[in-house]
Amino acid sequence: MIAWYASDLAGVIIHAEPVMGTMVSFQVDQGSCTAREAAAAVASACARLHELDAIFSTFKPDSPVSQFRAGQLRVDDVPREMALVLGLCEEARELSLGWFDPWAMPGGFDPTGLVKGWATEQALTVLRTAGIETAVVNGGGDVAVLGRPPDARAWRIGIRHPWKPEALACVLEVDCAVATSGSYERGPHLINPRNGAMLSCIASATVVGSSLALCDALATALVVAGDEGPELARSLTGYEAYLIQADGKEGATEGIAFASGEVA
Amino acid sequence: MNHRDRWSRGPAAPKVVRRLRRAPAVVAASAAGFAGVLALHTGSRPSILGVSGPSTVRVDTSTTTTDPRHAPPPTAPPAAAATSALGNNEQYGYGVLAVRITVRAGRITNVSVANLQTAEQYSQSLAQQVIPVLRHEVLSAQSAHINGISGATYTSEAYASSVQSALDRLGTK
Amino acid sequence: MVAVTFDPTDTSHRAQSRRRSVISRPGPTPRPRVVDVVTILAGLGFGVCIGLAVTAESWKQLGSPGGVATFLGNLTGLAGTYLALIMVLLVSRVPLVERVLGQDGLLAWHRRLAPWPITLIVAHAVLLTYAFAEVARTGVWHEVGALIRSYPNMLTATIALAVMVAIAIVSIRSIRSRLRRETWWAIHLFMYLALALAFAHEIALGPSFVGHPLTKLVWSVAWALTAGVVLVYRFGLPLLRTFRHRLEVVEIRPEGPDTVSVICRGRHLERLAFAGGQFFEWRFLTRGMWWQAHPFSLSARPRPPFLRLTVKGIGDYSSAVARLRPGTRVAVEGPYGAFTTYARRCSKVALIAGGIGVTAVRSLLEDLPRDCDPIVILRASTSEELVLSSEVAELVRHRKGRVHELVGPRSEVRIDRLSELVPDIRFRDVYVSGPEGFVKRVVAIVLRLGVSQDSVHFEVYSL
Repeated sequence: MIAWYASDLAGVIIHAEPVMGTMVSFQVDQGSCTAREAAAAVASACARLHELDAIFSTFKPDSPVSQFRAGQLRVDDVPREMALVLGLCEEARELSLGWFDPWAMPGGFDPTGLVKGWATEQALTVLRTAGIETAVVNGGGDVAVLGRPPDARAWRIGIRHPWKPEALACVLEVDCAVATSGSYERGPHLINPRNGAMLSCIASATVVGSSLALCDALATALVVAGDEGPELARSLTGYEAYLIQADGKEGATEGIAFASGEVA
Repeated sequence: MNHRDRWSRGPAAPKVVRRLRRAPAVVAASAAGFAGVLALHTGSRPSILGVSGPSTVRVDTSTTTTDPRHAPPPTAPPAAAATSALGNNEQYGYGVLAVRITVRAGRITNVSVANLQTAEQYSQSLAQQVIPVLRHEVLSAQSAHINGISGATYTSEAYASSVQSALDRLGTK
Repeated sequence: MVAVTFDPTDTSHRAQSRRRSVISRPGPTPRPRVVDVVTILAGLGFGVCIGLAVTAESWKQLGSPGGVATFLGNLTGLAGTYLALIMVLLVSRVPLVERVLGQDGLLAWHRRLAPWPITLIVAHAVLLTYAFAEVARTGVWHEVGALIRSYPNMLTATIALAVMVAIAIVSIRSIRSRLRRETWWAIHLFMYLALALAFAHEIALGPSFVGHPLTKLVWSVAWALTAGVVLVYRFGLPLLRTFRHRLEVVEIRPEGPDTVSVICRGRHLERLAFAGGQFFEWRFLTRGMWWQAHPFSLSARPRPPFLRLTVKGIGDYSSAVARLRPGTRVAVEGPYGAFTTYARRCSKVALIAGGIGVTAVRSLLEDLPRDCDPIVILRASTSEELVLSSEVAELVRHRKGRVHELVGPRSEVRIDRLSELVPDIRFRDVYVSGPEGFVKRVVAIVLRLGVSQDSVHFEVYSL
């Protein structure tokens, strides 16, 4: 179901599209386009997302990625998008020192940790191609931004608090992409109540950088890395990280841009 | 006046050491009660940390559904009128919670708990802090002028409970 | 002048009553085991409450902001409310328990326990407010308003807390002594209201109850039962007795200087189970006195349809008693008290009465069997103040015992003569009644003489 939300402000289109098992939010500034053009751009971006969902959904048994996992599709025969993603996955695996490894997933190759970010980036690309200059696309927590907000220096993206669903842990200034991964949405909690084992000692990992796909993958890697998360974060070049540990302690790389101003 | 003294200073006047011969039995009974509860406690209660599981969502039926290709042009904002949107019924640990967000001139001005039912369909008990936190932090998100929220992937259902949804729903920037 | 005498030398009544089979019922036998079981159950319940509080939290919770305060807040809430429930039960005058511990004993425990529930409940409110403020990262005072607005039943709970705190403040000794007893009493009764108001927020918000229907049920049943017990035994039974017996004053007889006996007549007094030494709370339904209830012992076993209490007068109330007009109706609560022959552990007794304390001794004597050899010591400042002494002497003679009258100003008469007067005191149960100072001194001496604590029974009067 496609839902439009009425916007109070002139020239801004807000849209939320359920796709890929999550909700992708668009905040698109008309800019110099007409309203019709802007709306059409958003529609194309949504259509593109659905196309990518068809390729990469591991829940659909006949999608290319499912076939690839089952060994029915060879590397040379994959669609172009999937080849791109495969390349990115390799890059991500290297960058994350092996903590992000789609090939090591149970059941076969699983690029899910990277695809959402990448798809969101693709949607933003569609918008840019259509002439949009200012937009924010939030793909279920992975945010890609375009341009500058009208009233500020940079986009302000709040990082969700791991334990308080409606609260913010902090606000970051983002001018390209930011992705967050965490262990709080999956289970109910950080501790496995059955055996008392911690699912991860990193509750939330946020990565800011130029490629949302890599941000996505690196954020996942940082959570999985657990104790070695901070070390991995330090080793990254070109990507900044912000970590919240399970015991509440926070840490960030030097280049992270915390927004000034009140965040309660 | 002769009567039993109800105002006597101290316990029943004379310095008879209270015959606390029942005390050991009482202490033992307390320990037994305590141990009994601990034993009966099934232990399947997850740690009370934060987020509940995926919440049930009542789709907001007031939203119009339109074919994107024939979207009507967005209208100019009404002059500083306050609109309030009733959020979905959220199943937090303590109950079914509905949040009402009031917007004035594009800014969230108040978030109040419209309805908290203490019915039995609770999933887990949640820290009671959620509800005041909800109100306070959503306001903070607004006052922080954020443009979006980045968090671990939420399902489409859980989206509706997020601040992102509130931002989207009310078209604030 | 009513044709009744409580003088034991007058045998006509006994003959009369034998003919008509109108003998007053003896008191029911107290069962100490009941109190043992009840206290064990109370301890069990307390342990359960602590267990509930502990199992409602997780270790991780303690580590998060406001976590420790939340845990402690829940713990103090559960423990404090449970103790409040015990407090209510202590003064609910359940006959099974009252018979063993005595109304005065129960009140003493009630007073002793009192600081705990109020402190715990206040701590509960403070801790949880602080905890919520911590988590919401807002000021504590702001959080108070938020709590009241956001949660169901918090407004009534806050009102309840305010009432409880007011009652606690008013009960502070220095403030209480400035109030009339009846004023303090009326304020204190609001505790029932406060507890009723607070109940809703407990099951609506308590983490041990939310989502746990069984726990919720048990808690609710416990409070419902308590309310039932209060209604039945604290209010219902006394009302029933008053209406069943319809006591009214028929005569005021002088017994000595400042001392009068009030003879009351009632219906169905043969159904009133009474043990010698017990007392009632008396409410004389006449102008100026109806709103006060005072405890007085009966100064003899009831002789249906009559009963007698003997009152010594110093002060407004007792002068008013002396001026009571025949026909005045009386509302009673009771009989209460564990100062009875049932409390005996030995077969022999020593009864020591100071001043008007003789009334309880006098009625207790009637319950002692023949030939049991009681030793009675009556103490008074002047011989006119030795009221009922002839009756006491007759009863003691009948039982092959001895009476010793110690008369004189306090400094002259040394009660330390006790060991002379009662050489085998260690083998007797000792009953002491009289003014507070007197009882304190005598009991201290008796204990020093080697009587075991369980064999010492006392009733404190105040002048």
